[in-house]
Amino acid sequence: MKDNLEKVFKDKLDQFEAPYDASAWESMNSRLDAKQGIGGNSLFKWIAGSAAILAVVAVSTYFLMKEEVNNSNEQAKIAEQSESLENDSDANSFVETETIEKKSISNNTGTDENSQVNIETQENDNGEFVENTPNVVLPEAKEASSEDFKSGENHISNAETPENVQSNNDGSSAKPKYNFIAGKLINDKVCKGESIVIRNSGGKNDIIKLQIENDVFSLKKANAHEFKPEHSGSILYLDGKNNVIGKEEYIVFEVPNPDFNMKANIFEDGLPIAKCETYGDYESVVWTFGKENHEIKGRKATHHFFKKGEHDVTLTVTDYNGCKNSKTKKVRIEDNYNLMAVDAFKPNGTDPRNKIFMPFALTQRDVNFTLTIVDPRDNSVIFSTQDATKGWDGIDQRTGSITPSETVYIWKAQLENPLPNERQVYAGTVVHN
Amino acid sequence: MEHDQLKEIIQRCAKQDRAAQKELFELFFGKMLGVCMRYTKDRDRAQEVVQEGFIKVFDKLGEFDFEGSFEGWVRRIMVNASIDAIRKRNRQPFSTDEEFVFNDSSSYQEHDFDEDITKMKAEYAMEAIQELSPAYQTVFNLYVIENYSHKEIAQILGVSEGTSKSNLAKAKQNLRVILKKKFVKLDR
Repeated sequence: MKDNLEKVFKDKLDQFEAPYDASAWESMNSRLDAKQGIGGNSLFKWIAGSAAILAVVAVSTYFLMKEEVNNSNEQAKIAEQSESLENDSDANSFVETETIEKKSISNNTGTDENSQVNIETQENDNGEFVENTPNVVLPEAKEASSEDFKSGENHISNAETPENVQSNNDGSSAKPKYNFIAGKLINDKVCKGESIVIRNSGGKNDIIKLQIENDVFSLKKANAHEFKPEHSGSILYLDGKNNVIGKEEYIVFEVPNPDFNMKANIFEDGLPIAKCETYGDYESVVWTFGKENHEIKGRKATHHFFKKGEHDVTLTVTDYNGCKNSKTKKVRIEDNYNLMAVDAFKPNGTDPRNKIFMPFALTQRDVNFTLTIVDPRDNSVIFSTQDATKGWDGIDQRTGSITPSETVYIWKAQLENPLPNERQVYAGTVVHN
Repeated sequence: MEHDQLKEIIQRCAKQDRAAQKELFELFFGKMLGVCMRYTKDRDRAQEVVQEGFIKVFDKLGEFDFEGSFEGWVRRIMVNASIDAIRKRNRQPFSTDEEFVFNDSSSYQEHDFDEDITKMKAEYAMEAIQELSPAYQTVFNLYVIENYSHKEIAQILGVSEGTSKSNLAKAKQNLRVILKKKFVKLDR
């Protein structure tokens, strides 16, 4: 026999159809793929495999061909540069190096190798730096991180190719000259895991040749090199003959490795409390608790978790070098907090502590409340109080007589000033005998 | 859809024909998402459960005998997948009754209220069910919508018949409170 509420829900939801979502099949399809990958339709795998091989072959063929074209373009470009070289002065040849935070770089990962210009150098008698195979790769991802970079450069040189090839074929033997310049690090102190970026913001023919540990490479104009040093060290700037023309030191600070102690599922003054403490000397200590992201500063922190389940506690410290790190631990709260109320008492018993009903927490906490006792059979209010010292003694306030024993009553406590992350109303059941 | 047409798709699915699997998926996706949404808090989780369910459907398709309703068969798999998903998330999801919404007797007449909700939109009914705790939600769904008896529910969920009955009663009580709040919001 269904009542109206049940009928309504059955009626509305039995044939309920959610709108179709076109992406649903895609993710289903990939799940089926994954499943098939384990057990496997071997024909399908074979087809997929050979398709993949074909794709690799096709792509690499394409790039091989493209590279040849690029090479000839680049040679043409060098020829053009060499012609105008004499007119270029040292003006604007400054170099900027900077550190960028990990985050801002992380979407450019992989540009590291690409951003190095791999130039095979050959020096002529005049100490001029000659570029033989200037196979410069300027990936598009790089453009985002170097604002000085003129993204048009490559395309322009491609566009000019026909003429330049022409001039190259004319037998011009002029070779480009390069100015070797030293860098200057703006920020030479980083935390481990952060990047140092050296960028050539110099003029057209300025080149930075640098040595970091045992690696030597060159940066052409508008190129940058990013690295994440593990330890403090120095950068050597070299000229065409590998003479050191400058040196800069950088310092890498270790990041702090914070840890903390935590006690939970304990009660103080009628409240559930989690106590956390970290040792160690830090510039700043910040704790965040649970989903509410309740933040507390200082070496010691406490938080009230009212709900059962796992909650995150995160400690974030910043040390005196400005390096930050955090540590998260899970805390398992064993029970929902319900004012520490008992579920049975004995109005006629001899133990004075058990003769009246009052949720224990209300006797300990500094909180204003209204406690009501309700008979669930007719939803009538039997008893009501706002005084923690005057709990329910089993008497029906309306009649003055004792209520039937061995019967379930509902209690409800409404708090006037609950804590910020606390519910306002608690309820439960209680039996007396 | 004609019965024979469906039968043909099912037979192709049993041979792991991906195109047929897609057809079957699209045919039942909306309804089955509707089923699974009733057992979760939101559409995203429900969609994951639907996928789990379809993987089982494709696995077991060979066992379907074309005797009963195919949709009913798929639906039972989805209900089971939903219950499995709840089990995976919580330790004892069906025996706890964490929320006790207090029944404030003074503010409404149950009878009138139940009359009022007959015109409610299906979407509101869905939202209300999704607000229930897993224990209440599951029993309410199984009893009211899937038409299981308390005895069957007790077996499926591994709880006592008494728990099933009391969870149904509390589920309904909570639904009334939730709907009342929704309607108050709508009125303003």
